[in-house]
Amino acid sequence: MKMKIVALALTLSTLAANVYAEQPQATELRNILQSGTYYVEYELNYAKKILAVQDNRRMDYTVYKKDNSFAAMGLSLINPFLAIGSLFMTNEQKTPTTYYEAGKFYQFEGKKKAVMATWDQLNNPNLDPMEGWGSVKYKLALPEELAVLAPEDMFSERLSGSSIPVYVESGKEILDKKEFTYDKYSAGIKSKTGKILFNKDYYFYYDKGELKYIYTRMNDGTGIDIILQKMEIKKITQELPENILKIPKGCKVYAAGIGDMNDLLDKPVLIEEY
Amino acid sequence: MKLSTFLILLLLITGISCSVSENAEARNSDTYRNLLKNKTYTIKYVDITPEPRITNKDKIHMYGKNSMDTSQSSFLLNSQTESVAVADGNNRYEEIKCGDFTQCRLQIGTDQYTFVKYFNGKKVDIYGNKKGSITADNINELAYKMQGASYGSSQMTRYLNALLPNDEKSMDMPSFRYVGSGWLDNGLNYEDYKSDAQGIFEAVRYYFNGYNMVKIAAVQYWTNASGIMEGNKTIIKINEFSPTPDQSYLQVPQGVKVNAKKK
Repeated sequence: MKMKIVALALTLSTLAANVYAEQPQATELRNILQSGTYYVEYELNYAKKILAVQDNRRMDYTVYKKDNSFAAMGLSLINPFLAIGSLFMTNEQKTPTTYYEAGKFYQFEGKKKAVMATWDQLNNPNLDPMEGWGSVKYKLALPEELAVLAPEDMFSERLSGSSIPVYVESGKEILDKKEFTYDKYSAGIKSKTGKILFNKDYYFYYDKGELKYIYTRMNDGTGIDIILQKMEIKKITQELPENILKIPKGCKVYAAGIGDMNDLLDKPVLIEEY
Repeated sequence: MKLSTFLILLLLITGISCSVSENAEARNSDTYRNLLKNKTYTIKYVDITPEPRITNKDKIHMYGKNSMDTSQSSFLLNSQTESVAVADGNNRYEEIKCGDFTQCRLQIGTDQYTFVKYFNGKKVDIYGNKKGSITADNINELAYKMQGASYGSSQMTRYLNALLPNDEKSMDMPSFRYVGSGWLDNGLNYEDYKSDAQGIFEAVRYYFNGYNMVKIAAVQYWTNASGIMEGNKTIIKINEFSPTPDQSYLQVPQGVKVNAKKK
């Protein structure tokens, strides 16, 4: 009898391990995202994003959705200059947004025009803040949700005081009437004195072995337990679509203005032509 | 007891009592620290010094990050701003007024409303998602955790957070420590705090008239990459800093349509 109980317990524990271990697809995704060659497509907040990476080059395609919930819309009614112009623009999907190659960052204004700044120019106080150079690395980064599986991504950043997220547990959860298997990863964010201010938890939801959603939650252990954002995964693959990393033909690239005479005269300098 | 042993004991006792009195000494700032921690206050103040320019081309809107940053608005540069910050637990209100514009953020429970009051020359109109209408939004809890509570302008936010203890501060937030206090010829007394940041000197002085905080003055200076010293000063005149939340600010303005939070 005793042996039977032990055998049953062992069987159950093996079953539990099978159900509640990290999904095998996580390893595949880890391999893809750490390989240096990948294509990811996802939706996050107000944007649909594509990131293609190969040979230390990376191209970002961002398509913003319209949203009118901001007070900035009210501001724009008073004065159009107060509106957050770029946030509400919709892009044609096949137009790249940002590109990085060999220390050079490109930002596109349609297919025919781009502006380029080098890595060491990104903190130049003379750069036009309307051009968004401060967020160019963020646009090109593997999003922090996916960087859970590739923490060494060259542009991805974690919050100050954050540890690298680690696998915690797996389980089942119903989202919108459908059951998903999830893997949970967690990172503690520490205060200046080393106290954990809160945990950032990442829930990877799989359906039939395919990663569908990543929910990021914030939990401070004292009542705040909220979903910070929901990411919908469209595609993760190592196969890059043709020309995805190519600057469009006919595109003229101008140097970013950094306060020189051409910049002051508003005469951008053409530096590359494709 | 030998004389040397007695002297050592005396020194130890004196040292301990000094350290106890240093730690136990009540300061004027304690009152304000407690108000901030308990989230019950009404603060009305004027930023005498405009916020420093972030770049040489700052022409963008007054829509901030977690705080209500006005430093990137060219039309607000070189202007004093008047601000109000009110809190009663989870109900909070902040505004920054500059000229005809007043940028406002109201939090009621778990809903947050951002809107602008605009004086059109005859009356004040409110613009949320559109004229006369505001929409609830989620509170940016992450920003509050990482950058601390917001008290209107980013300058005031920085120097009130400076009074708060480090155990609730993220690595991104500046850390300040008490360094001294004294009296001035004009009858005001003060407390000085200094930042622990490396590579930059930053000190802040809180002025009190009796027990009431009436002014904050701060200075920062550092050497830039070219070896040239740069600096920045902040002066904030406090008109009111009371423990009673002014409830009139913690309500949706009259006549404004309120839209529910988007799902």
